[in-house]
Amino acid sequence: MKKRGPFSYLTLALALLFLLGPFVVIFVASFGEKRTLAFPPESWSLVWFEKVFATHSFLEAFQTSLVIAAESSLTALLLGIPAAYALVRFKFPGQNALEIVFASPAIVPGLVVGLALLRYFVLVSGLPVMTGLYLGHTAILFPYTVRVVSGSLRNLDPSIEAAAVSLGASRLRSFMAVVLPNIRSGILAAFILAFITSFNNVPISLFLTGPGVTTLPIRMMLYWEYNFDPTIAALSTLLIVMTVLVVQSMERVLNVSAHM
Amino acid sequence: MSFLKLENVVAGYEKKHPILTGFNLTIAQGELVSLLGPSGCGKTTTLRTVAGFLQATEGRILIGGQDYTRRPPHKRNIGLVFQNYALFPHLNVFRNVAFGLRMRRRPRAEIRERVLTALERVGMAGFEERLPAQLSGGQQQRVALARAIVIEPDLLLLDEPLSNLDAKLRVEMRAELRRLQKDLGITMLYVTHDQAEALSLSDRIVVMNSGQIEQIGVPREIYNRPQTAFVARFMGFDNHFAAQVSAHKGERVTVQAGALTLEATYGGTETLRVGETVDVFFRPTQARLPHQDGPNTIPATFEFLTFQGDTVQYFVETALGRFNVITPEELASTDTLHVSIAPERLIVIPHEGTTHV
Repeated sequence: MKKRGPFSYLTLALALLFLLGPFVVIFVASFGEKRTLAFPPESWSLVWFEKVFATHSFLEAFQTSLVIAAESSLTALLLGIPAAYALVRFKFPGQNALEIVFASPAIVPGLVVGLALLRYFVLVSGLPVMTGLYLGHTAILFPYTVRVVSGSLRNLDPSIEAAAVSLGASRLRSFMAVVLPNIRSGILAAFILAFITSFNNVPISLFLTGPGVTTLPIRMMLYWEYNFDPTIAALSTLLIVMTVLVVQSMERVLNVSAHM
Repeated sequence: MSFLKLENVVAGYEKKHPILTGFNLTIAQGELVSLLGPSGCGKTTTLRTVAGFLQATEGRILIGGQDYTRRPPHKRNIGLVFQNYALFPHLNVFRNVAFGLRMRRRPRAEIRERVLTALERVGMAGFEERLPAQLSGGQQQRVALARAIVIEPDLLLLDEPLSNLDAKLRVEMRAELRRLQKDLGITMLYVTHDQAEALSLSDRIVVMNSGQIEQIGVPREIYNRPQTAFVARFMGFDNHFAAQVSAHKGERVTVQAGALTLEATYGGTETLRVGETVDVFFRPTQARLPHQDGPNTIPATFEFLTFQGDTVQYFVETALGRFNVITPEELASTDTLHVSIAPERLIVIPHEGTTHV
């Protein structure tokens, strides 16, 4: 291997600083004792963590976020697996256009307009706010699940399905017996990615939250508008730790990051 | 007796441009027939159509007298062996081989017995617990073979099954495949682009080109008596020149090529006309250097040679064009050369585009 020069180490250090710096600031600041956010803090305390758990609206919003993330990720997966399969294995008109849409979930923010309309629909029809959130999140997660699952389907040799069919399995049966078990880690990766995306989402939720129902990121924004204490930093630290733990444990079971 | 019969089959991936356009082929029970041709010749399309993965848009496919044309692939009882083995990566060897029997809902004890017998047959007994990733290519292909034969298929289709193996193993596996096929009396359709493989394995060879059959015959016929220029070139008749027929009686043809009169052989059925232009082919290995020897001698001048270990390949220029000749020994001198070819090794093929009545 080629030896790395001092310049490449410098670049690496800058990149790490840029990526991790904000997290480090928040992480350290959340342990401060003072009422205002300070970095580095003058004295240390866990009081803001206590406050997070004592604030009912945070817990409620956390629960809402968990439920919405779980429901919409599962639904997006149930829709995404067959869609990915159709995209990868079959040829049909309009396929290229669809593939472009799914290839880059970055295009999806355009959906916000559509979801603003959904908000209108929610108001007019009296659809429950939870249902609106669920539908909106499912819509933005769908391209992610399609993309990740397509990735692992593309790595799966189509002739193993032909082999299963030649041995007497119907197409559906060979999908269940041969395809699904071999894209398991891709499905899990898609789920985690979708879950985190939903959990962190602000723009869609901003449109679709309503009276009495708020997701955690929105609740945090609202809190931040009127309070400048480190509670939000403490909450962010908790969320980062939780996410890292989940991804780490999944990573250990299956080689998930290879699919993302 | 015909066992597998394809009647005027039209099939392909795009409806407007089918690859097979009225394909006919008949295979007898217990026969091993190879579809031989370069990539894109339609051999794999034929195989996929027989397997049912491609639907024949016209024509019929009969197996054992029954019409299989519209039968879905999982109800055909046809075994398949792929170039890339296509073992189920998440199942161990035992469960891979048991898959077909489990789909057929056979009792556990029977599955166990039949799987073990099949593994024994392909020399893979004792590997039951291994995962495919823990096996070599040759071992994986043996397991794939066991998986295909354990269901006692009516027909076994093999798509370039040895192409991913190294040269030595390929030759070994050829012989084993042939022995297995004889032992089980199983009918096989074997797709390959490898001439040596087709010659050593097959009862009959079907040489294909652009979705059409160029020639069907036993290996010796295909090797010695190609009937079209395509088959001749594909089977290694690298040297070629044009000539005019001056006399034709049975298999023996006298041709005039420039100032030379040559004795050649014709394996086709149509009568050749005197004066018609024909293509004449011979193999590099079936010509001799350097002396005048027999009736067909063509004066030649040396150009260059390549040393190939067991043999030496000479490139020479003649009045009929540049030829290459492979000899077992390097020549002492290349000052005066003649290319000599025995009449039965000089093959006459009607010129393409010439119509015969």
